[in-house]
Amino acid sequence: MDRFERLVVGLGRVMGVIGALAIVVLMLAIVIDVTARYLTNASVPAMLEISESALVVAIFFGLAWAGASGAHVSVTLVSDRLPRRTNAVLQVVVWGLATALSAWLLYAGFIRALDATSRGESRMGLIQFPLWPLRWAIVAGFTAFLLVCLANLIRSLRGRTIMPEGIAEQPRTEAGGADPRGAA
Amino acid sequence: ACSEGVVDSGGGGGGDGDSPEVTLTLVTAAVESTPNAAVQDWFLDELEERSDGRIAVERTEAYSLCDAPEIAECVRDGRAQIGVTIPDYTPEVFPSTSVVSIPFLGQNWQAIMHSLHDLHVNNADAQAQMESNGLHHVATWPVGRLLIGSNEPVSGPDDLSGLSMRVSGPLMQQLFENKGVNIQAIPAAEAYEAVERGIVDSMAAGMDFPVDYQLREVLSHWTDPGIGQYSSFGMWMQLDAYESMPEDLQQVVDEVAAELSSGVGAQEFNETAAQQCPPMMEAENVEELSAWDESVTASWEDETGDTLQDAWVDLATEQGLENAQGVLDDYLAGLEEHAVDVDDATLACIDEFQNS
Amino acid sequence: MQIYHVVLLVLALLLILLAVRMPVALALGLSGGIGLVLLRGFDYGTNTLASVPFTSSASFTLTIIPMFILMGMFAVRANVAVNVFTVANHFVRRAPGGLGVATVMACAGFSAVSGSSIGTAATMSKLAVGQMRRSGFPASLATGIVAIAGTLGVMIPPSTFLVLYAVLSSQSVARVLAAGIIPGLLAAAGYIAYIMIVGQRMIRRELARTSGGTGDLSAAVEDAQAELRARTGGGTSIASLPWRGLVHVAILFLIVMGGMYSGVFTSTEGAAVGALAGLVILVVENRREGLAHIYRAFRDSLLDTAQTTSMVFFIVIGSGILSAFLVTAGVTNTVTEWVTGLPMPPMLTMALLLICLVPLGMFLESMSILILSVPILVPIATELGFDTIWLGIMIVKLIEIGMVTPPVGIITFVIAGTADVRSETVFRGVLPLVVMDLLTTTVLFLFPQITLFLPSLVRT
Ligand code: NA
Ligand code: NA
Repeated sequence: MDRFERLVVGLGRVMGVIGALAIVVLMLAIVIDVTARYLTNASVPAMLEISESALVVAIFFGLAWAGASGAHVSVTLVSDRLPRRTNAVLQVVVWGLATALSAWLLYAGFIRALDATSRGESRMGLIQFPLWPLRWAIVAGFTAFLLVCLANLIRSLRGRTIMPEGIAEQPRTEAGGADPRGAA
Repeated sequence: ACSEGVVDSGGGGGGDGDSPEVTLTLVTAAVESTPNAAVQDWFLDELEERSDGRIAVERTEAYSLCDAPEIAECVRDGRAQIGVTIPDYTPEVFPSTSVVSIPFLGQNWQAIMHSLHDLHVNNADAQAQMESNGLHHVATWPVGRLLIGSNEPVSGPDDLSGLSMRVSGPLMQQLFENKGVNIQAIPAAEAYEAVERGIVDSMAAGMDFPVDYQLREVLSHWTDPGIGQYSSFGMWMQLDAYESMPEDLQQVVDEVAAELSSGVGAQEFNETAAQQCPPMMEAENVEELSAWDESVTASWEDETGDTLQDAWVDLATEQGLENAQGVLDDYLAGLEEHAVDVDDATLACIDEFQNS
Repeated sequence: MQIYHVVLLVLALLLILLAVRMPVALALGLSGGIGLVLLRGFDYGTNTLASVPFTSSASFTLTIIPMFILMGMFAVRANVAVNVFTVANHFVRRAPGGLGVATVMACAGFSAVSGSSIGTAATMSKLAVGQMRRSGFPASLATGIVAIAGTLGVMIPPSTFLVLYAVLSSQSVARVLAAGIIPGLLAAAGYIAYIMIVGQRMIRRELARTSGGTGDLSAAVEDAQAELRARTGGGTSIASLPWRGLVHVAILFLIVMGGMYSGVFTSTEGAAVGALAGLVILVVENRREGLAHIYRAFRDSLLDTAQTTSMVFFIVIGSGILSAFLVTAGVTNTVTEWVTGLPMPPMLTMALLLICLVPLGMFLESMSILILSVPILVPIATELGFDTIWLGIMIVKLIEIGMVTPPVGIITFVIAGTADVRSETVFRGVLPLVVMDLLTTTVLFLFPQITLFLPSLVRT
């Protein structure tokens, strides 16, 4: 693995961990709200908004990790029946397009984040809750995902298979008993 | 716009040379055949008619192209040129129309709509606020009087203490919190389930909650505490689209908007809002649809004083509205000036219920 | 270029991108994005791409999806799956395809606590697929059963889908929810019939194949040994079965259901409380393995949940971009005008309109289809004299089918991801079950009173 790829995988893993922590925050925020409501009969301010924010962070921070570990699904119905060389060429095209789309998503998200920040985008619940930081969470997620696409494009150009092949130490391979690969 | 699509004609239909000069895309949160859609549709129909077809409106289904909280943004960024939604979704964009949410002030539907229209024609600060967001104000109208729905009779502020209630808007929350209400944050779409499961035992909302959100099934007592109008629907054009139209078409837009706000809107709204009454009358579970005694409301209002008006001024200033006090003063003057006697669908329904 | 050229081009592009193995989310987003540029220009496309990711994720109601996934992940690592299916297998092993039957029943039960199909499918996939595989189910059958039974999640209440339909169509939420019960149970009965009649033959064939030496030997041997123990009666007494697995399921079930019905929380919140309870069970179950082991199980559950959540929502975002294109191009309106213009009896028109939902479901995410179809179908159905509640069940039923059919079947993808098999394998297993589903749907279509009986008992 070259240095760029190590960087991409490392970044994806760190962000994946933050995404996983956001899942914990999401769970706790809701449970705290439910508990407080049960005890005091009133909602805790901002818990609803914190849950929503945690969901956004979980989704977008997990994006690159899902990409690097091959969790983004694709349909192999046709490609399985094509010769290896054709697939190698198609892989370059696919990851070229994927890189272009990610760059476009990042560009669009970045412009929107700047705009949202400048006007202090917020939502009115029990308190006025700022939404604009979530726009930056989206930007961060798409940045990391763009790097994953780039790494796959470089691999494809060198005639190698896309990630996760060749990436060591994956948490997923330790997954529990229902995973047939782990069970076999 | 730095680029255009490659499709030949905007509308796709017009073959005989009469294709419109301007095509405006509508994004809306007003669901078909609701009172808000009636107000919106009159404006759009009239716009096409009075411009002799030079303006065409491409109408998309409610919520389809842009979700309700996103509509202001869709119009600002040019995905659509006319937007209709609840401004409270994006409070930071609309401090100049949130005056509607000050409790007790808005009792006359027609006067509110008219005054808000004047405000955005005559008050420079309100206008500047809209323009800084890239919007041209068309109309803002109230969504109906605030009702309290519960399963126990609530006939005065003292009955409120201890209720768990869904209340939206910072000023209304402050008002109810002062009376010992436990305010709950529940998304509108989960309101029904929240009541069914007992997470809230009451609701402060307009007639659309018992009727359209089906809360009449789970809350039996509905009463009008005299707080009046509490939330609004707004309609705006993208500023760029408005300014790039020929002057005579701009004039058509402004004329139709003025007419809408000076009476036609109220008529359209009330005609459709009246259809919300039969479901309430027929609902087996609804035992009460009433209004508080005027003296009870008056003493609550006295007790509250100007605190909520001041709170609004602070909030609107914080959200970037210059001279918020001046905007409030102009709004109040407009309310007085335009106070005409127009039927209110909610009050009419309460009368009908009481007399049945 | 005319609009319909652009529409055809975009749909062709989508199919090509899917065929050359572009990740589904990207294929949906790219074809939709290109369509928007062709229709309205680059700025317009960019604005849509800027908005859709945010609006399809920042919503409290959607938190139910990661929370139910998390609950399932915890439950699996708490050995709940292994324990429950060991007990289940002990009692249903003589019935043809017993474990599959038990899985369908478990899915139906779990659907009564889950508001979403994706959550149901992901959880049951973690719980059941591995066990069925070890009991000799071919991968396609095992994953197909979970996929189709997962769709019960949106039909049997509580269901975020049915609530959304009720709100969009101004119907009684209580009635719409009640309407889902019988169709849900009927569908489950259909799946069970298929498994008992056809499925068991596939299992026998698979077992014969694997013990023939080419396949997964250890699984077959393990199964054979279990079978032997069961027959001789030695070793596995009823008392030594891991009954605590059932207790754990009952605890989770009671927390989620009991809490909801006693009014402590909504189904959305119940998912989070259930996940926390799942964590507690995980800690208790693994207490002898040491802290390091517990921490690892906890971390892996979270990472898996974050990963699956990202994957699911990325597809939702991609399909949000494509559906923005379809709305902008006016495709939905054109279809309606065309269908209502056809001179034919109302029954046939209605059937045609509903059938249109299936191809839509092949390309779009289910929530988009619901939002797009309700404003079109409800007025037409009312006009033609059909009941709106019945229509809701029919719409949800057909959208459900779209959720498991190729090329874009989101449940299928989730299961392929969690069970680590290829999505074609799941598609192959689910298709015969979809045929069963279509039979059920036809019965429900021809006899609306089946659906409308329970709602008629709900007072309004
Ligand atoms: Na369900
Ligand atoms: Na599908």
